[in-house]
Amino acid sequence: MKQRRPQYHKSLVCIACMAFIFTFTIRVTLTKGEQDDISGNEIKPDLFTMDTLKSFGAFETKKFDKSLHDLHTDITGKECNTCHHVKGKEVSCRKCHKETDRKKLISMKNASHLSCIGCHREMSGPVNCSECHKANEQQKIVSGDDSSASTNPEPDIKHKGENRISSITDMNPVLFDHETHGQYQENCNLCHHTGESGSCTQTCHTVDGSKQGNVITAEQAMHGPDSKRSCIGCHEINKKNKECSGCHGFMENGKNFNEICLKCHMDIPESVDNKATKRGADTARNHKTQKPASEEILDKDIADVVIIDKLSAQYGAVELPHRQIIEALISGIKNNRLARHFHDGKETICLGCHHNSPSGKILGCAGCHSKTADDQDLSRPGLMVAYHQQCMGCHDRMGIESPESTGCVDCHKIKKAKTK
Amino acid sequence: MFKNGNSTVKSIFTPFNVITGIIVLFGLVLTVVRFTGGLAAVSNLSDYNPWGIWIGLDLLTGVALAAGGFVASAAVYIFGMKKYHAAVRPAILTAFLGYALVVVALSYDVGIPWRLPYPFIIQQGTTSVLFEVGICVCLYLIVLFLEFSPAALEWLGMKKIRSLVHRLTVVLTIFGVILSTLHQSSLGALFLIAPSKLHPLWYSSYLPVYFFITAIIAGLSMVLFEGALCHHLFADKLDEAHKQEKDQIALGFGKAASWVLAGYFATKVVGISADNNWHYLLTGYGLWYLTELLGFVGLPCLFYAIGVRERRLTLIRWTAGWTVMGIILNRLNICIIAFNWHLPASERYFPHWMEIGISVFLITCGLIVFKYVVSRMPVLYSHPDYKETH
Amino acid sequence: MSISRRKFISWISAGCTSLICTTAHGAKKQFKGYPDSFGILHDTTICIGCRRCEDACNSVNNLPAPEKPFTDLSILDKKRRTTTKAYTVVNKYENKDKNKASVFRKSQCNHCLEPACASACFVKAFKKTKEGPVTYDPKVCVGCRYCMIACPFEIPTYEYDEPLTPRVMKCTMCHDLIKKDKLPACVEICPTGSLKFGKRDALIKYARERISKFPDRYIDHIYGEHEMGGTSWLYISNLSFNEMGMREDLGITPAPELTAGALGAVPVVVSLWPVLLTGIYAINRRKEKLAEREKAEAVSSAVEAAKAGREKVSLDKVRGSDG
Repeated sequence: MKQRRPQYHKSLVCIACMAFIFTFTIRVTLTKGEQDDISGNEIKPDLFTMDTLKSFGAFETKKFDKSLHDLHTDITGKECNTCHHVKGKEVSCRKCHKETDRKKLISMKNASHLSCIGCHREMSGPVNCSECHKANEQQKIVSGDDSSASTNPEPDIKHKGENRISSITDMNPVLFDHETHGQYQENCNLCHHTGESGSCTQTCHTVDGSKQGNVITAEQAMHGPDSKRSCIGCHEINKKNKECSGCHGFMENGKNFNEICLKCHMDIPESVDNKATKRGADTARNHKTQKPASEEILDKDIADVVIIDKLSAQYGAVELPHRQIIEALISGIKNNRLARHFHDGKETICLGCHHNSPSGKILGCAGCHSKTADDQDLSRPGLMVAYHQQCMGCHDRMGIESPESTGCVDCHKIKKAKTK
Repeated sequence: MFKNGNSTVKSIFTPFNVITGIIVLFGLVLTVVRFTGGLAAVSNLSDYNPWGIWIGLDLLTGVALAAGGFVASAAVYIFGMKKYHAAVRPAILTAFLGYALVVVALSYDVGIPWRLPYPFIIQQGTTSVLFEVGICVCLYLIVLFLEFSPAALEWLGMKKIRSLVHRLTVVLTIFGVILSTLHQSSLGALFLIAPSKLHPLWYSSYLPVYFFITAIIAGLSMVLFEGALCHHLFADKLDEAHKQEKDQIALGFGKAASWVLAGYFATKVVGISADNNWHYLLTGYGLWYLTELLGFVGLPCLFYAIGVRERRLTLIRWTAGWTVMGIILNRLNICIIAFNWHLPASERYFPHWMEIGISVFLITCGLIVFKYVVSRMPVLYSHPDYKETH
Repeated sequence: MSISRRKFISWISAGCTSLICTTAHGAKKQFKGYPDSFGILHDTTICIGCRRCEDACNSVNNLPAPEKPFTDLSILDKKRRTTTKAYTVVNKYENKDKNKASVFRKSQCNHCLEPACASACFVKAFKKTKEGPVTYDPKVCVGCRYCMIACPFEIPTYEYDEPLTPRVMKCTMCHDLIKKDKLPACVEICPTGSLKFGKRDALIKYARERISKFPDRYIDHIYGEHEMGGTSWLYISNLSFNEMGMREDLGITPAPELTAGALGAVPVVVSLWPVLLTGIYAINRRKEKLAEREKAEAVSSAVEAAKAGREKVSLDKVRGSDG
């Protein structure tokens, strides 16, 4: 097993490398307390915080000052037309490229992104957003000395100092309940796949990815939907449980609602920030005692039975046991802590069937599906197909064998004695 | 045959007449069954196997074996090998009867035979190889009829028309060669459209070439084979000139056949290499293929060569028969045995006995007509009035 | 004379070369199907094997009622093919992975973009319509069944038991209904949306979307997108197509291309052969004539020599008698 592992990692290199170019840089560090814990002998931390993705709130565009211009002149070998692409008219970019896209002229933003990043990719210049757009990050970049730049053909841009800044995103850190996750996995190696009980992000899956971690960045390591070891990947596997797959099998793999990010990257009050361990325990306790928010909808005014009779031609109407279905779904959630954590509102239940309903309103199938299929949008079937796909698909995935998919009269009442 | 009257009662009940008579009567019954009950009543044809022995044997083999007509007439009239003149008329007669039989067999096989002229008069499916085959066979049948007509006209004593047609000989021969080249090769090209159904060893983009070469081999061998038969059966009909030329023909055609067989063998090997099909040779079908290639191409090639070199005429004639068997085998392989090889045994085709019955009936009819013509018209001998013109 | 003949031959050969070139060039053009033609996408992962499509097909085409009713699903345990009484059949294929449910696949004419049957038919009884369906005209069909030989999907069937007017029978993709802006009967009735009707291009796009959205639910292949040059019917599946009795070794060459080369050779033979054969004939005739003349000369010279000899002998005699 140990011998095979390096090979597996090698195969990931190219994927990782490609992803490296496109992904934002993230820094995940252990909080001080946990670092102490780990350096202390083999004490399992109860809770981590992860400093993670923060979006580039305000852009502070790098000024293309004289020193930078000189540098580029040298790199291009004084071929002005490399950038000033209209020959004989070497003027400022903004002379032509305005704020927004015009008929033939793309906007300044698009023009600079296309030519700068395009060239940087080939010449190994900075390509990450922050490297040009964050004031403090820009300071880390120096243009080479005027004297050496002219003789050195290599691009002379490098990072000042060894460590990148620790937090470049506005995303909240993740409170990771290590104890609880440990309870569900007998084998620590499922996550700690190298067999070492250290932090994922300290040496291997660093923000930028390191050779040790096969250049898989921290962001990728935590979010990769296809990896069994990543948070999301493992949660995806859990969604394949019979209780979950009824709704989740209908949804796209690894794709989540925006709000779902906050389920992990939740708000942490400043006061407890340094006592992550304690807070984690509190949160965990909270989960155990609290009545799941999803159960609240049972108390609300929901239909017990829905009669589907919009299309009854050959067959009679169907009585859909609406409440019974919801109860079944909720009972599946109730016994699963992971499910409870993520299903905390009415929507999380209802949208399982009433997918694509606009926020704040639950629509019946006929709200979107007309009697005939949409010939413009092939993903929107006609009403009959929508009903059948939803009911049969869910029953199939949840392993509900009765009623059978082909047992028409198990759901439908036969209309008269008209048999065909 | 059977209208000779009471005075010749004894001669009617010869073994030949009795056997053919029974077969013909039986064939007529089968014909009635075919055209009242549909194809399902007499054949094992199915949706997986739309073509049976009526196509595989009667059409493909029939056309191939009738190639003697164009081979012999081309040799004599175009290549100027006058010494083989005696072979021409029997070969053309066989060819004419062969093609006529093909058309008759086709009208048993196709669903609506009276629509056979539709491709020419209603809608021309020019993208179809079968259209090419159809139009060539149709034209060639006319050419063969004209080519053979001098014999019939001599018999009828219509000298003027006979000399008119006789003058067309070279033109007709050239037409015959062109049409034969086209349709003999196109019969192979018929199967080009089904690479997924024909076993890769038999399927090749060279199929039309193979069919043309084998047609020449079949033509040469049929002249020899049928010559040998005629010398046994119709010895009294042969005149001195034909008897003398007989051995010349055997040696000359035998030599030609040996060379063409060798060439065919080589192109086959090239074909396997081109498609890189060597690995199939060790499978069951591969062994069967080797049997065909070595046993029915390589071996006859060798025996022809030995026969010619050592002037062993009997060996040449037996080899001719063997080669004809090989051609039949080749056509059956392509049309039936190696076709649909991917299907499970339960879906494969084996001819119904009535299908075989109708095939036998048709061949018998051909034989009867052949005998009728040979015993009356100047085919195996030169008509005394026209000796010089040959 | 000889120069003009040579010229003539060179013209002919030039003509032949250009012919070969044009046919070769013509073969390179690729027909991508009629623009905006329709197709049907069969998603086997959501087919439940209810046989409603068979039922609908049967009634819309006025085919004879089957022995067992369409509601009898036990028939699915046996492999079936299209017949003259059923333009379409649904078959069940067990998943090798025992945990996964068996898969159902509907089979019928795939309506190729460049149909083998249409290319093979020598009366043009088959036609690829611009709407997508491949139609059949029983009024001209001779019944040679070459279409059945040609069809790589083994779909056309024949009324062997019909003595006078047998027809080739196959799915029509409900061409008449399509022309009236209606759905084909099987698509219309399909309860689960396993059959989807639309523009072929849009269907391919949709199929790709499905595959990329649910990578673990589908094999990354749209059967019919390229097979035999592309078909109007498309299939996506979670079981390999081979396992569902669909051949994956058919290649992407459209059927007409397979015989195009052989047909292209026809004009070459027609134009080259007469020239060659006439030439050979002329050479042989000339040889014969020369031989005859030589023979005649030899004979005459021999005769003369003989005569001279005789005269000499007689002269000698005379001289002898003199001397």
